[in-house]
Amino acid sequence: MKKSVGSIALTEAVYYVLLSLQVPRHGYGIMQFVEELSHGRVQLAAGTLYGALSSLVEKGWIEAVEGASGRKKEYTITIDGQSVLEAELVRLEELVINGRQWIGGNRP
Amino acid sequence: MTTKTIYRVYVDYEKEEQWLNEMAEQGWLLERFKIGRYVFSKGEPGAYMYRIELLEELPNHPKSTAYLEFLDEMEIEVVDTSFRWIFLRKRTENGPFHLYSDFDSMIAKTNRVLQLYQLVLLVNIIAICINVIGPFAVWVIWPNLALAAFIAYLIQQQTRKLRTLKGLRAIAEQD
Repeated sequence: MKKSVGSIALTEAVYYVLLSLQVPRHGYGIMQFVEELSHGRVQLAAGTLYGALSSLVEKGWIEAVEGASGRKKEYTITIDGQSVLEAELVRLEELVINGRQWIGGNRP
Repeated sequence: MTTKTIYRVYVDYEKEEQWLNEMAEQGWLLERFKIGRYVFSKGEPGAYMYRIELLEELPNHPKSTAYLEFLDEMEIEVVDTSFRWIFLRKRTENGPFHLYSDFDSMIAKTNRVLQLYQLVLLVNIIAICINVIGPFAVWVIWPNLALAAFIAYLIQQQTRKLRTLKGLRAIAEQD
């Protein structure tokens, strides 16, 4: 049932969580970073973020690491997660390029 | 510390949550809960926002303790637990307090609540049937019927909420 990496469209929350885990962060750090990156537009609630992290760990896209700053659990992206994220960036770029080219009848 | 104990029974958790927030607004902060018994302490009015969550498992289950630890890291305090229900609060200065920001998890929670209400309704109906067959305490039937009717109303309300959430999810972008 595994979808090929190229066909996956990520939800906004998952995309931003993966993006924030380019460096290890704990839950609160992820929430703050995502809010900052999106200028306050994407606000991940605690229960939702917990569910997203659990399912990403299950998929093997992120993993829990020993937190450098005491008892708080930190997460980091895995190699699999990184390739999913990069494939998504290619897909998003295609959407943006086609959008720029075709919106408003600006045909080549 | 000034405390106040109030005895009340809530079947509708959303009404209960609303009441706890009204109390917090007046500076009465929930500290302890035991079925029907709420203990409040006097604090700063409006300093906390309360939420009631229904866990998938009992609070001491490893799945629940991991979630509760995570909430603690997110500056959400577990005030008390009762069966699978937990009472949470967050300081209002730390931002708005919502547990969920996506449709999937809102739908999952509504399903958990719905299943619990359905179980309570079933137990109630069985109790009514037993009393009709062998009426050793006939007067119990009436409050029992009233409770069953109220739970049936709550089930209908939650079912409608579930349908709305599913509709909203359908029009939102999904993977």
